[in-house]
Amino acid sequence: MPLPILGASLGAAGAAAAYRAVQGAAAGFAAGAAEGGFGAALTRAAQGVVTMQRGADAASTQALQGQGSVTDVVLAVSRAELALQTATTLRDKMVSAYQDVMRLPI
Amino acid sequence: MDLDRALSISAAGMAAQSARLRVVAENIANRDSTGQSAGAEPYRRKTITFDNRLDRALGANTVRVGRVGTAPGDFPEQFDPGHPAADARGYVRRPNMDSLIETMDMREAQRSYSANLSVLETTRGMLTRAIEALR
Repeated sequence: MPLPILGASLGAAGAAAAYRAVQGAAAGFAAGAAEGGFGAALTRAAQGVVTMQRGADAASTQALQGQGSVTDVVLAVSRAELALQTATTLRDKMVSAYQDVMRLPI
Repeated sequence: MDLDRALSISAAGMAAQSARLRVVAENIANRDSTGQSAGAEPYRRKTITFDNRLDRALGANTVRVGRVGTAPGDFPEQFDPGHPAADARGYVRRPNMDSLIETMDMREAQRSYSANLSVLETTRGMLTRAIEALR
């Protein structure tokens, strides 16, 4: 019966091709993250949040030391809070999307 | 982003009103500051002006303190011959500030500060609501 053998060989070749494709995609994703892909965008967003938090910390410390103004603290802390809210919301959204994909019935 | 600018503009308004309140505090604190010797000028009331200036980093006009100046006008005189600053007639020149005007100025600064704070809170609420729409 040549047909199942053909099918099996095709299947093996297909699996190998799929494996290579996955490997290539992973390598491509890594390269994309280094250049400016989705990963890089996320990294930049996270760094932005960290920078905002540092600004809020600096303003708070200055206000506690008697320098700077309370207005600056309110502004810096508000900005940091909003940036963190955006980051956590996006993270939740991404995690739920990932989980949706993982739960797909194969 | 416009909402981000609104935050900064409100904060600038709050800073300007803080400066105004500082000037009012100076005026009220110095209501009895006369000269130290005969013929010396007493404390002259300070005034503050605001200015609408372009903040290049922000890309929007914000309010800034224009100039802290002094109010012209004559000093009221009070008969007090025993005072070290009394002139030959026995009169002491007193600061040209009026407590009532300063009190009203203080109230205005307070209201304006509250208004700016309300704008800031509203802006922050709008941003938070927009972020919540992502969920």
